[in-house]
Amino acid sequence: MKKLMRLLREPKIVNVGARNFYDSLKAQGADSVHVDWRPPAGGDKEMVKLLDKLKGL
Amino acid sequence: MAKIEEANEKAIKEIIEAKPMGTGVKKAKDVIPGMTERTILHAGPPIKWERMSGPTRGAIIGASIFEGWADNEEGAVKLAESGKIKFAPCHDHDAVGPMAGIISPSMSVYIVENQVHGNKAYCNFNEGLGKVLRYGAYSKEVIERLNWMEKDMAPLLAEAFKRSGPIDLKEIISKALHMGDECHCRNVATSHIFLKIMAPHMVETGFDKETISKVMRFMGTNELTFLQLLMAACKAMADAGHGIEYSTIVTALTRNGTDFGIRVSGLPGQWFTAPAPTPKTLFFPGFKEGDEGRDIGDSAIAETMGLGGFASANSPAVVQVVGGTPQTAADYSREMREITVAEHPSFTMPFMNFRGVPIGIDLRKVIETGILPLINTGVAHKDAGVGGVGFGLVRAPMECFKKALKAFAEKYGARE
Repeated sequence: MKKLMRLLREPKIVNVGARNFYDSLKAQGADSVHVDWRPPAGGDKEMVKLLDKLKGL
Repeated sequence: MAKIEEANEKAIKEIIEAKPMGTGVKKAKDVIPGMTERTILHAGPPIKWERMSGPTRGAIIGASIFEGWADNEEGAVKLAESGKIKFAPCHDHDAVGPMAGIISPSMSVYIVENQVHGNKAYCNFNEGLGKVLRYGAYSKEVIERLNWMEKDMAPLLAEAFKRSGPIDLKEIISKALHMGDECHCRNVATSHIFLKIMAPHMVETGFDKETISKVMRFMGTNELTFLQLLMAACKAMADAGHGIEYSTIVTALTRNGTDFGIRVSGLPGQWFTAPAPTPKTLFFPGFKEGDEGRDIGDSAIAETMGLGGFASANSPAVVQVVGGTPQTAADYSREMREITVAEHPSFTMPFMNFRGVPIGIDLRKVIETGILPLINTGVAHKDAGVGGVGFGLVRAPMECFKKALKAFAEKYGARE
């Protein structure tokens, strides 16, 4: 419970994707971790479709 | 198991099991399949004279003078424009060539045999750095060096190979990876080991002292002596996994200074191309930004086999040329694991707790993650006749992989 309360009092920020949000949080002293995530195939719908189809092979 | 996974596993098994051995030296026209008296092989995917880059044109001019087909630049250009020379990719003739990758019929080539699968690969000799044919230079000193290599170096090496017997190139690469080489831009250890092996055999040929001394000095002071053997070894290993139905493994990354091209195991006989990018370059003294040509050479066969940029963790010194740190180098090797399917058990990286280099670029992973293969490379001047301007780092262009995925889906019936 103590740990849960601490989490509520001291927010941790998980930044997913665009790294510049993480960089600016760090610059302001916020406690943050960055997850290097990109949409599959950079969001190219044709490629995503082809990749999905290949999963059946 | 799904067909693609099964095919990729088979391709990687063949590639890893391949055993490339250096077996000899002969003239290109006598050993390279399909090499005619008027064939010139070049690096990268197929390309016509009209679209060729400056360094490729320069090297063709030099090769035409070397062959005695032309006396000067003007005559060589005329000949190239006449259509009387057959231009073809080295890769389509079981060969590889660094930078412009020009191999003409009278040039001597190393013969590399994969003892497990029986396929062969060929590559010409390394001329050193600076004003050399492979970087597009064709001045008198370049032609004189090529002539000397044919007159003295080739016969001596051919005789030495007869005495040494087959030389295990995989073993040399494995050792060199523990001696600071990434085996593309840095081939210091490989070259020294090769010379150490060949030295007694060269001495025992009975050739005159002066010739032996000159050849050994040339090979000993050239830290890229082994690059050509390494490339042929990589080609022989990668080809062992080529042509396997349903495999999405990339079996060649290559460039001709105009286009970047890839080959895919399950799509034999096809090239997938995109405009060649420009490397981020550290320039030799006397050259500056804007002098560099676009990415060029078959030497990215090293990266195809998990070496070079993929083995960056082994050679922080190479990454340093573009401002990187040992950490950056390790990060590059880790990143390449994201787009590969295996680690090579014989090619290991001490700084990565001896894990194997990432091998087997999976077309699907490149597209899914957006992570592009990293290549360490030499950089040629953009114009014909100048030569090398530095070393750099470059990423393969995404477009090749997208084209290949479309073709793959079409061939294997996965399209709507």
